[in-house]
Amino acid sequence: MEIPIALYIFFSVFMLVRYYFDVGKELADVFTSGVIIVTTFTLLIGAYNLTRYHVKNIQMKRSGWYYGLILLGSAAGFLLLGYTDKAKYLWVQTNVLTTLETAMLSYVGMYMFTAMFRAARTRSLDASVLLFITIILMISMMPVGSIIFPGITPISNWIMQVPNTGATKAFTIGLGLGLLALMVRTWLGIERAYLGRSG
Amino acid sequence: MVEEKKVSGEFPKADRLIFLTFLVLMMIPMIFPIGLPIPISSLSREAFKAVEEVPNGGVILIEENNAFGTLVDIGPGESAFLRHAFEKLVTKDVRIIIYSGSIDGNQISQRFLREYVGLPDPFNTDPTYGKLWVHLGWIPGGETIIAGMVTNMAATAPVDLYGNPTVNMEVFKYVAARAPPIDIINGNDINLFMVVHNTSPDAWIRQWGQYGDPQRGFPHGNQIQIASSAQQASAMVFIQAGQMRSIIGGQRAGAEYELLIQRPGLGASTMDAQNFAHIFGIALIIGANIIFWSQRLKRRSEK
Repeated sequence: MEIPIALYIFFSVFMLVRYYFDVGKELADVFTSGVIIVTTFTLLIGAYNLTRYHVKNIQMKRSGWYYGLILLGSAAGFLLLGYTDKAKYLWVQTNVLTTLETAMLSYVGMYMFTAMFRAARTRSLDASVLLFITIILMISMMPVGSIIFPGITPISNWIMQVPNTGATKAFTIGLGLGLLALMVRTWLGIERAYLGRSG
Repeated sequence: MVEEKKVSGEFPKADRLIFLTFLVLMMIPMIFPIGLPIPISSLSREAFKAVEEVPNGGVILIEENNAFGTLVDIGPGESAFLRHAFEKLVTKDVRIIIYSGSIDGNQISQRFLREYVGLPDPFNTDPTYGKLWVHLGWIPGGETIIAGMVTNMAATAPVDLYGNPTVNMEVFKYVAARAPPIDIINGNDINLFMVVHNTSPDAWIRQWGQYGDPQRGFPHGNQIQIASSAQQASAMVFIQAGQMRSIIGGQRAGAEYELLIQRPGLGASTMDAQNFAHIFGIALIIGANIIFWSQRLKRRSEK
């Protein structure tokens, strides 16, 4: 048996037993600290990989290499500001980083509006039901929706609490069973994707 | 509907028109506020009630996982909640423990505590820091950390944001002594759990859902989540099952919470625009279907 699989079996069984039988508290605390250390190191590996990838791109003048230059320059500048000038660092964080990230997310919103125009068609009975429910929920989510249509709140509540809850429960249970199956597959050494190998 | 050819750039003409209309519709209420009413939902009222019901000397545990990209959506609810919680710190001697599960969340929580709660920078210059509240900074590790915070908090977070050992802190000693074992902070020491996130609500339900407030009828989960409005659908399952008390979902719920604490802010100021956006979305769906059916009927009659 390979060492990574043996380690996986040991840690997963230990944490399961710890959760259900409340034993091995001290050892579990040590493992938790280990998780913090390992996760922090993964961040360093990520930073190293990203830097290496973009430095190579710049050196070889691959397509879009100048984006890499902007990325590395911004990262280095932001890091430097963090250690030297906190006021400027916070200014960049509030007025540049937050604004850019919000703009990226808003872009998805723009696409949603075009999708409403292009894809939301009552082509079949299923699509019609879906669209009808979408409109009801959109009205109920609109701040003045319940004022314009006073009867909309009980209908949208029913949709959220009955069909939505039923479907979400089924999805959650399915997900849980899938995770359980994945754990057993990993214990048996069938699932090896996490080791960088196919099963 | 006949597909349009692209004009000159990347987007078809109809898309450009939609973007432009959307932009104009968003700008109008921002420049000329209308002040449409904002009715308060039962979920927001329940979240507010949960904070109000924290007993004198009670404890609130807050995990911050927000990201800069979702700040506009989740931020109003978070800032209003933090203001409310810290008011209770003054009026009811409530203890507050904050930590972050994400790098962005660490920065955002500190910013909100400075800008909205009015705490000094650095926090340890505040006379109540370490006694009534503490910020533990960013603790990486995902769900393992969520679990660790309710099994042995001091082992999971040995130092605070400034590197001070947590076991020596007055607030940690006080919280640990509330329920057995008296030297360890676990889930039984906490009255109210609050988490800000932009992912799925599952992890906090799995790890914190078992700790509740039986005296107030919540034996399995006196927990509030502040998330995007899209997460409201998945959170309803847990609210119905009693594993979670309420959710402050998105900008609208944030605006409602601002009104509940009587401090309208960013959330309330954007509600007119949100009304316009929803109306525009509904109009697009209806308009697209009118065009679709008129073209379909025309084709049928031609055959």
